[in-house]
Parts: sequence; structure tokens; C-alpha cells
Amino acid sequence: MNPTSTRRALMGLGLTALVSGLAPSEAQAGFVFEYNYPDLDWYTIETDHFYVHYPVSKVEEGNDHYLNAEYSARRAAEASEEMFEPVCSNFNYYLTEKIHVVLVNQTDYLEGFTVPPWDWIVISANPGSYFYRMRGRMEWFSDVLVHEFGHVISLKLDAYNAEGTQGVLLSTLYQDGIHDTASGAEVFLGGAEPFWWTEGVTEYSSDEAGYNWWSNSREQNIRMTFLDERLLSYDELIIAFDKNQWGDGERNYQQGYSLNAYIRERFGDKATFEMARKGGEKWRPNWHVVVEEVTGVRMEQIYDDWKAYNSARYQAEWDEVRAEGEVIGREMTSSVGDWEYSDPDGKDKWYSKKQEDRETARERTGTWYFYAKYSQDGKWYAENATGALKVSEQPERLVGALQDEFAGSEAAATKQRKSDMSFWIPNEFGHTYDFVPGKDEIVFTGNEHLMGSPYVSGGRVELDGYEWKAIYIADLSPTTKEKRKDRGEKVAYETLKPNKILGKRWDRDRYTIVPNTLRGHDPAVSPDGTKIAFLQYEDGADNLAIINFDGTEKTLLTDFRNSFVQNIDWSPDGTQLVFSLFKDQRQDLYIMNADGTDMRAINRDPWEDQDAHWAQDGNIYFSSDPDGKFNIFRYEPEANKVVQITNVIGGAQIPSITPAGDLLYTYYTGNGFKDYALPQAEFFEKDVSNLFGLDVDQTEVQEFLAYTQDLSKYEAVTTPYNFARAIMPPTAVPIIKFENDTMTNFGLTPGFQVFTQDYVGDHTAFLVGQTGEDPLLLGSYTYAGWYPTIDLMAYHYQAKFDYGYLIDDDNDLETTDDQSVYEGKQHQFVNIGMVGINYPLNGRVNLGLSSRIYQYGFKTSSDTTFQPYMYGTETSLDFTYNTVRARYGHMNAHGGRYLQASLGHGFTDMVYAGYNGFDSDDGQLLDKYHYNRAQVNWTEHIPLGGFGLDALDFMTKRPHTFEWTFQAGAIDRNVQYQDEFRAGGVHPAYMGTGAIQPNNQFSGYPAFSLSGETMLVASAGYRFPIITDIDRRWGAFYLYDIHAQVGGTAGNLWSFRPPEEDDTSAYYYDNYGQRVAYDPSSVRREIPFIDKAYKNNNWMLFDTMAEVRVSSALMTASWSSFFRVSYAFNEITGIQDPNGDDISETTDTGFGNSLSAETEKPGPRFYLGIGTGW
Amino acid sequence: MRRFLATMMVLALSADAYAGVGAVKTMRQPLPAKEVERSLNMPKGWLEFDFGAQRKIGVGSWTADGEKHLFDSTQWTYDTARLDVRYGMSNRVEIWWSVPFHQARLTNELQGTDTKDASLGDAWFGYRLNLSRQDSPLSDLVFEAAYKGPMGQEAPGTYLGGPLNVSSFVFTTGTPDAKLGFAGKRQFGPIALSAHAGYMKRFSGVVQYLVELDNYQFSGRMKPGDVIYGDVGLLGQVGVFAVQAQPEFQQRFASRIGTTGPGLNPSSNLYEVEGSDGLSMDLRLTGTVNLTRGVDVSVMALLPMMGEDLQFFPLEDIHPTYGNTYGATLELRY
Repeated sequence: MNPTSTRRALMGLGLTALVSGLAPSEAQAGFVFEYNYPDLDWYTIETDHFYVHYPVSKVEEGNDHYLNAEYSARRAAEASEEMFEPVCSNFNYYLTEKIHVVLVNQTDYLEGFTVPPWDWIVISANPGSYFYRMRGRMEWFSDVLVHEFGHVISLKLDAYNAEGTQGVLLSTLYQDGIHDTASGAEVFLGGAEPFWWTEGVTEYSSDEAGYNWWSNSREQNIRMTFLDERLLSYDELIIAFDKNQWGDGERNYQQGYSLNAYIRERFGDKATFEMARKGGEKWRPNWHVVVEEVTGVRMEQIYDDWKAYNSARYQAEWDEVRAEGEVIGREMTSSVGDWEYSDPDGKDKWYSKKQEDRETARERTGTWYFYAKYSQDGKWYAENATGALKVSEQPERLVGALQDEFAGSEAAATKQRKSDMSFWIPNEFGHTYDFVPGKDEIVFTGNEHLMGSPYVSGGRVELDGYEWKAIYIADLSPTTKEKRKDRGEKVAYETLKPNKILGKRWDRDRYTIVPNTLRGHDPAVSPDGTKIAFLQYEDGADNLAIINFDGTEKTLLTDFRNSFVQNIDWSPDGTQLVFSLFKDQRQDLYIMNADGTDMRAINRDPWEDQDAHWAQDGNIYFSSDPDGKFNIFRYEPEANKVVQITNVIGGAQIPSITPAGDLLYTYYTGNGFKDYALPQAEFFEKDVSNLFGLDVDQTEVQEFLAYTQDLSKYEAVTTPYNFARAIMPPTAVPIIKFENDTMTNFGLTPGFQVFTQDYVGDHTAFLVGQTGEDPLLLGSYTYAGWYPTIDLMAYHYQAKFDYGYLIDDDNDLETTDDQSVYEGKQHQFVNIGMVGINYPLNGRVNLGLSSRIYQYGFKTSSDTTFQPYMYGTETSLDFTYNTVRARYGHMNAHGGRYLQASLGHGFTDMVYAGYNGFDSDDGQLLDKYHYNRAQVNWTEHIPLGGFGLDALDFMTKRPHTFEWTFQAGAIDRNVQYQDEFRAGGVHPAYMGTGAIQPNNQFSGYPAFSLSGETMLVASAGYRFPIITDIDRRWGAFYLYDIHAQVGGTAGNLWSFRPPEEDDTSAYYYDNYGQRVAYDPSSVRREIPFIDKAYKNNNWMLFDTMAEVRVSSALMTASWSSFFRVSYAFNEITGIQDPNGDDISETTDTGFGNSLSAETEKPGPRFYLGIGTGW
Repeated sequence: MRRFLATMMVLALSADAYAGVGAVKTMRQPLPAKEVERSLNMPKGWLEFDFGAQRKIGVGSWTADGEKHLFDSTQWTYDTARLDVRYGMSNRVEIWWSVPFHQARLTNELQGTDTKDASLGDAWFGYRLNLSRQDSPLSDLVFEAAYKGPMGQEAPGTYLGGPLNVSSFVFTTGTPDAKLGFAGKRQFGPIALSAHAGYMKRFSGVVQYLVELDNYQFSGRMKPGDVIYGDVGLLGQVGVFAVQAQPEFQQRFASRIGTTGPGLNPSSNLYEVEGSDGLSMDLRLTGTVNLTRGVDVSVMALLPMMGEDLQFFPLEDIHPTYGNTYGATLELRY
């Protein structure tokens, strides 16, 4: 066997690609958090059927982030055991294995998920800020646990496959270097339960078990979804992906519940549970037939019947409201919407639009708009709009909704002033705020680093992983700037607009955190502007607190263990506070003195009384749902009387009375939460005092308030967390691959992936094994119990493949009658060991340090053992910045930046005995050498708007994206081929990595065909939708979008260059026909754009590509496909087999040509990926 | 490995664990304690590791006419250690892997040579689908499919003095195989009858051990002959002891060698190796002790009854020598 052929074949297989591709990924500290929390100890409560793991900070003294979730864990344990029997009874499926519940309390945001085969439920102790707006105020622990446990039971019972393997991954890849094609397909044969059933059955199950606190919040979601014609089709209910319109995800849950409830009514109590049992009996790619097997009716028919039934029911409800007189006011928009038609022509015009365009128009005015409010002096107006607070100086009577005059009638100067004096504050989603009386200030709920908001520039380093909420003060004082008016002299003007640098706002100076308010939220400022009342979260409960603006004199006014206080407000005289309190399944309105004394209930009723607002007129406005729909009510303390103010079909919440006495409130529609205004003169004014239980026995109230459930019994079954007793049952995914290594070398490769971790995610192990002609064994271990995440990985891979040598007797490729092909086969191996650490600096930035060592070798026919060929090690520091926003479930990124930079140092030792421990590359003899590597990859996804042109308005409706990528890399010396940069088109189903990403760069050229020590490559692409929102199902296949992309790449990879051929005194030929310089310094670095790259024989390379991307799902799992045509404009030369037919020509100097005489001609290259992504 | 074995033993012998890595899942199907009652498929949720070792003592070869020809001064021992993993993946499907490790030794007293070599063998991956099953008494019919990838050593080593003078042993055909077949089992009280039948397709491939003779440089292409196989077994069980006798039959078709052909059929250039087809029959005797539901120990003897020379010594996978094979297996399941 010729050793040179061995070396080149090694290259052809691209094994080294694996080395660079196996760097540690960006920090992934478990499934829940980006950060690790080594400052926490974990404890475990063991009950009959559950383990509940909860965290406690190791250090309490002086720890701003001290947390202890003990009481929450006990409540979770209590709730878990209570609901175990009824939920299991629903399905007649009683678990023998215990379920592990991990209670996280590091976050102020809602978490709740389960992985049933792992017997694992994760919930947060804090349900977050706005969940109750969609689901109703509820007893969080029992609600979330019964939901997740319902998943555990239903999905375990429904699973056809054993829990150790949830399905099989089938994969194929055929790469044809003769016809220049690469085609692959992947499919995961697993469960196919539709989303509506998965989520709906567990909601329904919790209802049957008596633990579903289904409230009128959810009823209003379903009701308005029907009445505003916003229903998801049956096909849309099947998958969780592609729910990118407002509220689609929530609708999937609620419609799923409603469908299951309808099935109960029509087919009996157990029908939906029976589907779980049926589903587990045999595998069905099209799960929907289970419904028909159980009910005898096709699911599509049931859906239509359900739709007709509920449409009639909700229409009748609306008729009732109208009969009494609908009092709703008007949405606070800047103009009259087309949907607010007042004549038949207007109606025809509105309904002539396509359904999706009507939805877009309705939702463009806002979907998550809450808490519209004026300052008491009428100067400022604010609303919490989709996760930020929009503040503006806006005289009240300019609001069109209150006087039917819209912005179009305003003077230009007024409009300009409104624009200058409005800006966005990073208020947390769904939280309240308050103006500071007498000052241009606003107090709001932020988080401690003001991270995660697009309205405040990022880049701040966050090290401990805590991003708790906190109370902030924002300064609304305008700054004075100058601008040139009508090309004349400069004029001064006032503005709140922040300065921008590189498109980012830099206005942190406006914000001051109120000390001692971590985990505080929903502030209300006292009328004298000296105190802030707010809600303080701790260990699964909210309590009422009060504090000075400078953070002093913080006082907890309540001390409940299981309460959620909501929406505080001060009495106009500043002596009292009003709020609603959820405790022990009741939610009523309360008043207390501002010093925390004399807490008493205003009412005692079964309704969800909330959003208390104590207006300047002395009355308390609030929302409640006594007739099943939320309306605004006014409680008049003097008269002890409640009056209904609105009468709506949707849902009226969050009242605020303007200085002039009009009402601003939040109205729920099928197209979102909207800010509405209702003039005082139109108030409904219906006395409904009899509905609200105003005759309160305060003694009974005090007993109620004093009650705290005693859960001390769990102390005896609480132990420190022991990870050895908390390792998940491993799960494995069998993988069966069929692919070709070369044109005549096909093979089936059966393998598996095994995963396990401990329940709190400190230790994770991952094993990949494959057998067949190319066996592989990869083991990795991740430790997330320290601040940086530590990864260890070991890898062994062997590959056998055949190839050919073209023997041409006269060294002339044109004459073919003297040619023959000799076949060879080689057995190669690679061993890799790696250690890496990663640390996230914030949500976008990650630092990694990794070191890897590797070894290559091979065995030819004449070898008795594997022959080591080279050893190498490389240590690199990696920096990643990533803000790419991929749409859920598929990767047509529509904005964001990916920046990756690395600096590395490597050492390589050539050891092959056949070369006497040396190797030559680019004319230089190499043995042991050190090198440094620097590399940058910068990708921008730029959303294209309509540029203000009507003709281009379509770009704003469906995402059009411009993408460019710039890659640069340099290695500071001549290195062996394995250490060089490489490029060329790689199919996404190819197992290894190593080609430059994105993989459409230089996809016109063969994979790994371009190499060098210097790399400068730029590409650009335009991505646009062809058809979107298809949302149709055919059997197990679901199609949602088709996009296209066109683009191209320019650049090259430059190498080191051997002495010129005619300079015969500078080199000699080695035994394998390669030029080797006598003096290594005569091997010079090629200069980009100045030198022609000698390996591929071009100054610059160009290609272009066009591809179609199909976003779809198969058996409810994301399954996206693509077809790409790339065209290379340049003919390239290369080493041994540049045309990719796996036959190396050996003319001229025999087997060891430095450059082969064969070339890859300009031309097209085709890629097809079915289910592989792109 | 010792730790892994110890863990498996603990899991297999212990009472049902209740949580975490050792949890006995509710979804797991029942597994009869006695061999005679067990389905051919691993029940859903059960994971089994089989640790097996066997030795073949090759004392001769079969002639082309099916006669036994005993070695004069040569002894060939072919040891195989094997790890089999079986998993009951669903109600009706079992998947399995079998990874062998071989060690071979050829001694020739006359020439005074003693050549030893060892390597991983060819791993098999299999899929078993239960077509019908009835318990108590058991009546079972399964479809089987399996694939072998040529993972083992195929380089014959240095061939100074010619390609036939090898210094390494080849432990693989160097080519992939695929099997399709059916199996059935029927229980009659303490006795069970079982049978397998199937077809093994053997694909062609360039192999390292087939050296191109003109230049001694390059490899040739090989296609081992396809195989029809079958067996019938009779099992009897008394208490925890089960004994089975099972004649096994194979019809091997002729092998072909040559160079790779052009186009989509790389075997088009191959020519048949005369006399490389043949019949063989062995008798497998197995004794099993069902220690617990999770632990079995079995011993096995494979006795050659008839055979024919298939031309490719010392490749046991194509050319089995004449000789008895003895082995034992520890089965741990959870």
C-alpha cells in the first residue's frame, strides 16, 4: 500500500473535521437554566409516590439572593400525594415508579414541564406575573402538578414504545461525486400524539380529578376565540410548532381542553382516557384514528360538531349581553379601524379581506396591552404594551377613543411633540407601575439587571445567574436637543428619546433601582410621593410590603405562606391600601391601614375579584366575574354598594379612572388584550351589590387570614439531596443509518444514543455507540455543579472504505484505452479526548475554553496493527454572541446576529513510521510543530421591512430576510493538511462537521475540497416566503411554510506555497513525488487576493445557490426539508481526487502528485434533504 | 466492566427498585420465570445483557465431497467472547445487538509454528417483530430481520513471500450481511418446540484480505454466497432446569470474487469460486438454569454433523472448520 494514498484517503474521509466539530457547545446547564447554581444546596422530601427536590441557599448572611423553597416543596409534596390517586384512577393506570418533582425557585418566571419516561417533573415555585390573566387565579402547586402528572400518566399509558426507547431514528445519506449530488433523509419513528390531545387530556384529567381551577379567564379565551373567528383549525391543533401568531399556543391548550370536554359530553366520561390506552396498544403514524376507534366518529367530524355546538352557545351569550345593552367603549387606537365599520359597505369591505389579513390588522393595534393609566395631573399616559411600558406626554382629550377625534386632526407640532415625548421603559411583562405624584417620575417593575428587554441595551455581564425582579424609578425629565427646522436655523426641542449607539439605546441613567426590593413587583406610590407599596415574593407566596424611595424602612405588611396579593392601590388620602388577596382558593378585595393594621375584607364571594383601583372620587374600581364574564365594577365605600360599569361579552379588567372621571380598562378579544376607554357618561351604572357578599363577618375573615396549613410532618421525610439516588432511568434512541463512504462503499450502521442525568441536572452523561463497518463510541460527561459548566468527552471512531487508483500507462488522460482502476481498501481510526469549560456572561454572550487531544492512524492490508499517523492537541478560547431569533420549530431565522471568535494554540506531531516520523505538506517537511489559529465567523440576519413603500408592504406581512456571513481565519505557519481550514458544501445529514457554517457557503464546490491556512469568505442571501400559513395535514404529514433563498459566496482559502517548479535548486522530490524545499523559509505564505491559491488554482472563487425550504412536521415532530442547487463558477484543482469520483488519477509523477491532474469543472451541484433540516 | 457487571447483577437479583435509574416501570410486560414459557421476543421494557464465551476446537476440515479430513499436526482454536444486548422495545418489537470478540490460534507441531491473533468481530443488529402470541400455553410466531456490518479485522498482515503467507487472521468477511426469517415456538406443558427458517443475503464489497495477485498492491471484491438456514429445537423443562436439542441446517451458495464493476452493480465483474457452495448441519445442545427471573446461566455444545469445504480457510464465517464448539452464557436482565 502506498502511504501517500493512505494520507490522502484520510483527508477524503474528513475525519479531522470531527476534531474541530467537537468543541464544547455553548453552555447548556441542564434543561431549565442557562446558569449553574453552586450556591444552592438541594433537599429531598420523599412521599409514598414522589420525591420533591428543592433548593436552599448555602449562605444566608449578607446574601441578597438568599432563597429557601422549603414550604413550597412541602406544599408541592402535599398536592402531589393528594392528586396521585384521582389522576391514576382516571386512567386506571397506577404507577409503581416514583416521580421526581424538581421545584425550582431560582427564577421569578414560570416553569412547568415533564419528561414522562424520565419520571421527571419540573415546576417553579413562582407562577410568574401574567399566567392568571389567561388561566385564572389558581392554587398554583396543585394546578401545575396535576397538569404535569396528568401528562406523565397519559403519555406513559399512550406510549407504544417502552420508556427506555421512545422511538427509532432512521437516516440515510448518499453522496455522489460523479453526478455532484448529495441526498439525505431522516425520520424519527416515535409517538404521534396530537398537541390538542396531549395538553387537552391532562387539563381534562385534572378537571375530572377535581383539581382543575378552570376559571372564567379560560372561558373568555374560548368564547372570544369563537366569537372573533380566531379558532385554530383541526389541523392547526395537531402540532405545537408554528404557533407564531398571537395566542395560538394558548388556544391550542384551551381548545384541546374544550374538545376533550365535548368528547366527554358526547361519548361518556372515559372516552378520552380510553384513547390513551388504545394509543399504547399499537404504533400508528396517524394517531387520529385512535379517536375514531374509541368513538366510532372521525375526528374531523367531531371537531366540526364541537365548533357548531360552541358557536351557537357563545352567540347566545352575546345576544344576552346585547339584549341588556352592551357597554364597551372603544379601543384606544390612533384611527378608526376597518373592523369598526358602521354601514354595510364597510362590513363588505372588511369581510372581503382574507382571514389572515383580518387577523393581522386586528392584532397590529396590540395584543398584550395592559394597565393603561394617566398620571393624576393628566400629564403622562402609560400602558404596558407587550412586555414594555410605553410612556408618553399625552393630553387626555386627544385620545380618539374618548372623543371620536383621531390623530389625523392633530396639528403637526402636536404630533411631533407626542412623538418626542414618548418612549419605552423596560417594565416586566404583565406587571403594574405607578406615576410619582408631583414629579416627572414613574415607578415600575424591572429586573435586577434590566436584561432581556429590547428597550435597554444589552451587553452587561451577569455572573451569578439571578435575574430577579426589582422595583425601579424612571426619570421622565426630558432632555433638550437641537434640530434644524425647514433647513433653517437650529431650534431647541425637548425629548425623551434616548441616545443610540449602533442602533442600541443607551439610557440606563434614567433608571434607579430601589434598594432592598429584589423579588419585588407591582408598585404603587403613596399620594404624597414618599412611599412605595409593592408585592414581595418569597418561597411560593406574595406578600404586601412598603418601603421608602431610598430603600429604607422596608416593612412587610402581611406574612402569608400561601398567598398571592394582587394590584395594590392607595386611598386618595394615603392612609389606606386596597388590594385583592388570593389565599386558600378564595380571592376577595381587602383594605388595610398603610401601617399594616386593621386588614379587613370588603367582600366575601366566590368570584375572582381583582385589579383594585382606588380612584380620586373615593370609590374602588375593580374587575370581577359574577356572571361568568369579567366586567368593571365600582365599590362605593360610603354606601357599601357595588355598581357595574361595563357590560361586555369579552372580558373587562384592570380599570383606571382618568382625572376627568372616564374609564380606561383592558378588554379581552380574540385578537388580544386591548386598551379600551369608556366615557363616564356611558357607564352601565347597574347596582349589583347583591352579588358581592358585602355583609362581611370580619371575625370570620380574621380566622381565615390567620390559618396556615401545618406541613411540618414533612420534616421527618426530608433529607439532603443525594444524586446517586436521583439518577434518571437512562433512555436510548436507536439509530439506523444507511450511507456511502465512497461511490462503491455502502453500509448500514446501527447505533444508539443513551442519555441520563441526575434530577437537578448537576451530572449528565451521554453515550453514543454504533456498530457496522464504521464503529463509533462516544462518551461525554457534563458537570453543572460549579459556576462554569465542565464537559469531558472521549471518542473513538473507525472507518473502512474503498477507493480506486486510475493507472494510466502513458500519463495522458485523453487516451483511455490504456487506463485501468486498481482498488484499495483502508481501515482508519481516530481517538479524541476533550475537556472544556463554558460560562455564560449573559443571555447572549458565552465564553468557552476547551482543550482536545487526538490521534489518527490506519491499517492497510499489509499491516498487522493500526499504524499511528499523527498526534495533535489544540487549546482554544471561544467567544460567542448570539441573538438569532429562530422561529419556533423551524430555522428560518428572521433577525439576529451570530458572532463567534476563537483563538487557539495547537501542537502536532507526525509519527507515521512509513515516513520516518515526518510528513511533507505544501513543500515543507513537517515533524513536530506548534501553531496559533484565529478565526471569526459573523452572521447577520436582517429583517427586511417594506421601506415605507406600499408596493413593498408584503415584506412586513411575511418575513423577508437578508443574511450575510463573513468568515476569516488565519494560522500562523504552514501546517499539515489536517490542521488547515477547509470549505465546501456539506449535506446537513453528514455526521461530521468541520466545513464552514452556514453550510450553504461554497456549496457549489465539493465537501472539504478547499483548504488553506488563510480563509476569507463572504456570502449573502435573500430569504423570502413562497407560501406561508399553509397549516394543512395529510395523514401524518403536516405542512406549514415554504420559503426560498437565493445567494452566493465569494472568497478563497490560501495556503503556503512550495518553491516554484522551475526553481529546481530550491527543492527535491521525495519518494512520493512531492516537491520538498531544501530551506523551509522558501515555502512562503500566499497573500490573499494578490496570490492565486496554488491548491485550487484561483485568485477568487465564486458560487451561487438557490434553495427551497419546506417547514413541516411528521408525526407531530418537526421535520423540515430542502432542495438546493448550487453553481460553482470556477474550475478547481486539488489533491489526488478533486473531482470527487473516489478514483485518484496517478498520471505524471505517479501516486504522490502534489496536485492532481484532474479538476472539478464549473457546474451545478444538487442537494436534497428530506426531514434533515437545511 | 466489573462494576457494570456487579450493577447488573444487583439490579437483576434485587427486589423491584422503585425510583431513578433502577426503577421498575409500570409499562413493563411480565416475563415468565421459566424458559419453556418465554416468548421468543423480549417483553416490553426488559433489558437483557448476555455475556457469553465459547471455544471451537477445529480438528479438521470438510472435503469438497463432505468427508471429514482431520488435521495431522495442526490445531485450530477459535474463541469468541460475546456481549449480546436485547431490549423489549414495545409490545411486539425487540431490538438486539451482538458484539463478538474473537481470538484465534493456529499451531502446527510439524512446522513448529504457533500463530495467535485477536480482534473485534462483526457486530449484528437485529429486529424481531411478534406476529402473533398466545400465553399459557405459549404459542409464538415472530418475524426476524438482522444486519451484520464488517467491523472485524480484515487486514491479513504483511505478506512477504506472497499473499498466502499471512501473519494475521481475518475475523470478518469484510462484507455486510442481511437476514430475513421467521421463528415460532409452541409450548406443550413442560416441553416446547421451536423452529427458525430464513435467508441471509450476503452483499459484495472490496476486502483487504483479497489481494490483487498481479501487483500484490491492491484489494479485490468479494461476495460470499447467500445462505438459507433453519433449525428445529425441542426443549424440556424440569423446575429451574431446561434442556434443548436443536439441529441446525445451512445451505450456502457459491462465493464470487473479482474487481468492482462499473455503474450501479459493482458485482457485475465477479466470477464464481468453484466449489465454494455447500451444505452443513450441526447439533446444538443447550442446558439452562433459570436462577431467577433476571438471571440465567446456560451451557452449550455445538456438534458438527455434516459439512462441505467452502474454500476460504481460516475464515470461520465462510469456511467453518470441523470441530466441536463449547460455550457458556450468563444472562442478566432487568
